[in-house]
Amino acid sequence: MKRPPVGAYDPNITLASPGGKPATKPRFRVLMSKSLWKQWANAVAQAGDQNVQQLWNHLAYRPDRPPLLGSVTRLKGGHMKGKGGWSDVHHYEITGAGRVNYQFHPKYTGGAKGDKHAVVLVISIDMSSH
Amino acid sequence: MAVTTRSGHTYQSTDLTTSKRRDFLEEARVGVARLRSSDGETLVALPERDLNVLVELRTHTLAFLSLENAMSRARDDRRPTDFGELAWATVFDDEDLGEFRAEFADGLATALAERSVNRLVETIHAWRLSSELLRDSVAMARVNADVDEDDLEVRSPTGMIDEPKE
Repeated sequence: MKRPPVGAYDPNITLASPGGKPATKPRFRVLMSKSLWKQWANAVAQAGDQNVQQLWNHLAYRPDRPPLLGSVTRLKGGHMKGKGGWSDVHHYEITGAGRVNYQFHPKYTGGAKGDKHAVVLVISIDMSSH
Repeated sequence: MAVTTRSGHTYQSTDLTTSKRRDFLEEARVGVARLRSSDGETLVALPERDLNVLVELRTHTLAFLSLENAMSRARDDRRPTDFGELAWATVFDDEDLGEFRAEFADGLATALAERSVNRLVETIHAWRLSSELLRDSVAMARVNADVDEDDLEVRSPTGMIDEPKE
């Protein structure tokens, strides 16, 4: 099984363009807990790189905008409200690549030493479909 | 309340074999047309999409009444079956349930006005998704939590980082 690229979160390191080619830098860094790693790997294994790429594209480029593919739902109720700069919890679903719940923070500082940068935190991953 | 038609006319079944058939179909297409059958019973014809909305509205209205009924009971006296097909909503506290009820009522009114249940279905779907996440205590512990050393940065699965085009 091909392992999806992943790295320890460091607020001072930016993603490099593949092959040095100019590319549009992702607007958000996509983060998840180590405990979700296995589910992410399963998602890639089951759905395939290309399908999961669509999911990643949404998280990295437009978690705060209507999706180009699939659907986004802003979740309801007091427990789903964002605090401390985090957005409300959003649910993104795309056929063939599963579902994720996430929050985004446009100006996360990553602690006292971090510069402001935009992050997406994956709350949960589910490969089943409704 | 009786059904009103555009012309107020009740067609006879024999009209369907004459040029009046075109008027009957046109009236049905834009709203409702009434027809009296040979045994005297009155029938109506309307666009199937309108009938579908009415059938769906009936289902959603029954669900809403179940919600109302369940919420009228003290929290400790409520059983999941009281919520009918909305049993998944039992996970919400009373404040969330009140918000759900208000949005449900708005959705029903909007569906009647728009002759479409789409927005109501979206609202119910959003609440259902929320109930599923709320039951996942491990995931809920991550909501609004700070990023920590255990968090990983997920790179592009294919290595491509070209912005998707509109």
